[in-house]
Amino acid sequence: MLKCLIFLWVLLLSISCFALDVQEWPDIQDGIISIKIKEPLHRVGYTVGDKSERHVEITIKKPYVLIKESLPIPGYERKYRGQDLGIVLDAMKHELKENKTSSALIMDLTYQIFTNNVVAKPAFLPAEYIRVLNPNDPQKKVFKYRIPEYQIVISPLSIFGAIKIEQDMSPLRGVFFIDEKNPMKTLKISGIIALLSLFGLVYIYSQYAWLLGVRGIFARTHRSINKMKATPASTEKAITDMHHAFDLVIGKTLFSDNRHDLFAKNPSFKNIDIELDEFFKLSTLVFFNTSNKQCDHSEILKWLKVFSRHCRDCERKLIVDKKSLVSGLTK
Amino acid sequence: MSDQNLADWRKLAVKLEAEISKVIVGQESPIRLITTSIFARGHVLLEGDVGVGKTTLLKAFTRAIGGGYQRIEGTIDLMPNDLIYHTYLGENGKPHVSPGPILIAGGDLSIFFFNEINRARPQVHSLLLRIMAEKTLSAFNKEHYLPHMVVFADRNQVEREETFEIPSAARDRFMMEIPILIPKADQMMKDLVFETKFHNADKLIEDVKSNLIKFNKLNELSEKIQENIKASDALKNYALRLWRATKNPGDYGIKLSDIDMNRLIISGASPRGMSMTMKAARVNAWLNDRTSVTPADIHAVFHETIAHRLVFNPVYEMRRTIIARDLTNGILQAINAP
Repeated sequence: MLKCLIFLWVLLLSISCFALDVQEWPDIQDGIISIKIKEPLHRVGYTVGDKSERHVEITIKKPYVLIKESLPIPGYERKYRGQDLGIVLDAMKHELKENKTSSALIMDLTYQIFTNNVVAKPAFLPAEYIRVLNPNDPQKKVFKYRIPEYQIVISPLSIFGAIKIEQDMSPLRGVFFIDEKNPMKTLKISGIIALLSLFGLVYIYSQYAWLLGVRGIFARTHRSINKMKATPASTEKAITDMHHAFDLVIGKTLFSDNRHDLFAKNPSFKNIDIELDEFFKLSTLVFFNTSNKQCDHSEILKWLKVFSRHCRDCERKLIVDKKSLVSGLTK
Repeated sequence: MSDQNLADWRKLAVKLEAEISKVIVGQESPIRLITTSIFARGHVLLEGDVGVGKTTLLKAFTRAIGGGYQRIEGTIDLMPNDLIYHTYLGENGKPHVSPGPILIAGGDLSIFFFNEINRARPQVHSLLLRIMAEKTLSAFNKEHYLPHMVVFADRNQVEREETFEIPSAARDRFMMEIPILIPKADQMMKDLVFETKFHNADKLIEDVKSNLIKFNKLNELSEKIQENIKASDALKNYALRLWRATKNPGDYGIKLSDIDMNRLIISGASPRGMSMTMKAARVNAWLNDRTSVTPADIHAVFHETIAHRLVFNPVYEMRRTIIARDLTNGILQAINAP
């Protein structure tokens, strides 16, 4: 008995849901809702697979509000006189803007054609319904509003079905245009990449490249040494800065006897080995020599400027001209 | 002693190295370090396996610098008085006392080699360390002076049973600990094994020119070297930073794998240790014909003069040799000069 009652209750519940689903709502009275539609550019020439877009702007006066559940649902198969329409809402984007007097619903509806015919056939982008209600109405009565359909024409792919297109080159038919937008975009991007790659290759193989490494430690040190004036303090600072730069490059203190670590990090420095040798002798002379040997600071600084430039070039993996190397300063 | 004399002495020192290198192959670095310690008048700990030529090396040096050479083997039953005298019954059946190895050469003793020092008892260490520091000894109601003596001691690092580790305070008395390793080059290894001249060490060292330098002039020369070879302010600052890094290596960004740097060091280098480093660095500068000490001179002696003075946490003590090498290398790499 209990089972029978439960079955009856479930049956009634399902019938009531169905009743809700199929019930008819009255149309909203004029003047409450206004609509603007931007229709597709062309009405004819649609065939299977094509997409068509409608831009719809609906204004709903207050106190009426949109029932969001009534918005069109993509993917619904539509029927017309019991037959599949063959046009499906493929995508729907919407935006709801509220202000004091009204609310604006903006929708982009994209339909896709899934039908074709051997001759031109009238069809339409189907009408859509939205529902509104007045929240102040104690009965909460719901009204519907119809977005009108849009008449289009489905065109055959070829006349009377599948024939060889080469035999159907009627001069009356328009020229088939390929959409060049995307290929042109790809072509432009490829061109820019090719051009940048070319610049990159030229840069890598050129001797006087300067863009990359402009913020390298030796580039900074060279700039700072270049601004120095020949004083004993400047000479000491320049040598200390160069030591510091070398230390940063190899991640530890560089001395004359662990130059191989520098060469391992950047083999370009091998080209200026004789200047490195000179640099360490100079450093020893300036900092550690306690004899009264006088140093020509202007000569030392001049040499350091050249040396720091060579180090900067090595940092940029450039080949330093061996003829430009200077040694023998400390003799 | 004039600068010219110093230059002449340097030539002799270089010749000394060349003479030793004739009979000891593949040991250029230990030869340079021992030469440095001889001219810096510092005592040396030798570290190395048995049979690598430590005794031959020292005998060769003794032959070249002249003076007396004495050697004693460290054993567990060795007592302090065994260094000073030994007693025996003479032909007449009466007891006799004769000087032990420390005293037998008198004031001319130039090299005293204590083999396997860590096998001897702490009492023996104590006596030896006192003699090393004061270079005098009271025995037979008399004060004996040993002004030219340099002690070389070897410690067996492989076998640790029945040994008495030298305490850190005692290690600190040695200027250097020098590793003596087997040469790595194939040809040298073959020569050592197949060249018959290397089989008889006593005959081998006869090739070294004897009395090349006067051992009794070395103290005066050493003082002169220390006076004449100068250190700039930049170098003093550099040495100071190195010293501080031995105490708190973590503060200088030094990291060793699998080591907690905050727990590693119990005690860094002592003031005596750093002064010995600088003493050795000055001699190294002199040997390289420089009038001022450079960072390279400190580097040349840093590990050998510092590593054995560092007191590690007991957790790391068993790996001392490896950790000390990595640490001193890390310090030299982390501290910049200037």
